[in-house]
Amino acid sequence: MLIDKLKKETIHSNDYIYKPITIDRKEVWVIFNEVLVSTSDCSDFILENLITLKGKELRHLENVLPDCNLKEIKEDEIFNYVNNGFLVIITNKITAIEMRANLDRGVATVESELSIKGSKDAFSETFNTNLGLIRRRIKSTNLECRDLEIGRVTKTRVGILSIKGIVDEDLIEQVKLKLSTIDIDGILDSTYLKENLESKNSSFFPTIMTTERPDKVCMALLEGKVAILVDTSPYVLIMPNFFIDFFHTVDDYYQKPINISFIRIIRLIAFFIAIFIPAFYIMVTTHNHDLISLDLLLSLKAQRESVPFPAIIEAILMMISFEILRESDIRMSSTSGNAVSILGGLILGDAAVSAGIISPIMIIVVAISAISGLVFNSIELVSAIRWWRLIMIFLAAFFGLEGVIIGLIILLIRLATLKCFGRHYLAPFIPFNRKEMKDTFLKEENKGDKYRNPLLTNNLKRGNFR
Amino acid sequence: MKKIIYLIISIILCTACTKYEELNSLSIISNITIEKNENTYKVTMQEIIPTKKENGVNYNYKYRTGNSKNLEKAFNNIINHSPKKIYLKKVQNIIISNKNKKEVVIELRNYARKKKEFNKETSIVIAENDLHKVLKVNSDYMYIDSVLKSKKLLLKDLSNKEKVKIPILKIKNKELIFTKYYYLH
Repeated sequence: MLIDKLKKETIHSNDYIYKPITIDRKEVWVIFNEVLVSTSDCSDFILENLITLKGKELRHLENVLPDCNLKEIKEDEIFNYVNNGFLVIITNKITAIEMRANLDRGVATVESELSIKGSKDAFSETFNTNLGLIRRRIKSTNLECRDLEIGRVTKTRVGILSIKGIVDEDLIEQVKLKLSTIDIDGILDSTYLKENLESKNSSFFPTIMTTERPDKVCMALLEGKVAILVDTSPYVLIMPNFFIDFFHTVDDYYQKPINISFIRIIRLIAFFIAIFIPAFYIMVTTHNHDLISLDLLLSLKAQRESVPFPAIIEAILMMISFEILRESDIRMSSTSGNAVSILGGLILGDAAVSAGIISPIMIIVVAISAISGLVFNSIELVSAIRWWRLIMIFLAAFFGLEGVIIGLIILLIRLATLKCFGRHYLAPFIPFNRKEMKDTFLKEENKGDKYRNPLLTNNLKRGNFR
Repeated sequence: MKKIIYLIISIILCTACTKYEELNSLSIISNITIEKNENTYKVTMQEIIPTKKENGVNYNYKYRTGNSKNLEKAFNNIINHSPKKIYLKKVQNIIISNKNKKEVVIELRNYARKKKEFNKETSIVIAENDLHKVLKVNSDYMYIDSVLKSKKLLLKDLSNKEKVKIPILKIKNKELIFTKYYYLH
């Protein structure tokens, strides 16, 4: 019998409930998982109505039970629906009724991608809530959500979002193909998918963006990009991305273009400072002393007089200390996090200088470099900057100016040869596209919003204008 | 293929490894004086030793002297016997004694063309007084530059030009003043 077969499958789990009800001498089975459904709603709206039904009405449950999401399903789909918060009624047919319990924290507030202006709502762990936040902003039937189920055990719901008429259909096919190759037991977060979706030529630089902001996802969809929603993950994946996309924030579209241009240039300067400043310091103190003025050279010499370590060891020690502090600050609760910051920053830093272990200039250099790296929202870009900073430090320590220049050339070659879903990562710089330069580091007045990026879509015009 | 390219680049770059010098292992020379007495060249190098103080940096000076019948050997006497590496790329001034100045300038020109350690922006000056007293007029290593201003003759001009005019300084009222030029053909 079907019920015996179902019970056997969940024999060790007490949260699966199998309730028999006799209606008009006919046996009806109600199956649900008590932790995934709202048991009060089940009792009030479904069971209460069910027990008053007559035999004939059992054939048309959709007309008598008050639920907007009611569907007829097959035998092998029963647990799929039960595990997704549905209540399943087995009569002469099998009906699934949505009765999901409220297991999420509602619409969350933005935590990691703060903005001065712009909306403050953020994605949460529930797929439907997240999709709702996007549909609120894009009220068009052209916004398509293709559902997939990934994970042999977790059977996680994954949605591929795109706007019909704007997105390149080849891009969707590529994404679907890549997702279909994932053969894993479970997907617990959207980052599990990233490894399969990212470009094969491994690079430290990210090609897929993760965001918790619905407005950012909507902007990306309107440009012709694809977004991937994953159930139980508050982060949505956006692809494809260019290098320049990681220098843009949501705030850039809520301010005047001249202010935006200034801030973007600051970010670009911060990017180079973060990677090159420690290497430059090591370079001038070990190989290329003639690059700086005599005053500065004497000042650096005075500060390094009592330091027992070579410059490279000093730099690596400081970098490791900073990373440990940062990691402990993230993991600590907010109450003790502040104390750790004070302990690490003031006491350790000040004490290390007084003890003559580290020179003050090294603390300044590493601090400026680290802070410049934290200007970016993307944690993957921050990590990439950290790796390249380390590579440049080693190149500067072993090879001086020549090493740093070679490192810069290799960095540029890496970026120029990287592709994301067939599109060049350094576009519109490489290959150079003059028209697309209007919204890179400098934003032109009111010209950036009329046309889309030709690398993402063939539908270039954003409006009905000549 | 990529690994081979990286290996070749690394081998080429390894030649730069030998230039590694920590700042603490350098003796930074600010001024050099050269005088010739009879047949002996006397070279004195003024090393700046910066030390940290509360609100900045304090400068102390140390003097290293080398003597020889040949200018190059006089320099080498100091360079080879110094515990730290002599760093000549930040030398501000080369001060030459008024006595036997022509021979000294010509020797210096030949030596500078041969050796690449010198900073080409170093200025050449002739002093009428005792060279040690000239160095001690003012403890600021930029003092002579401030006296010379636009009258400077750089080492690169001495090496490249046939006709040069070298400024002459003298001590008056505990200060250095410019008196005239010495013309060398």
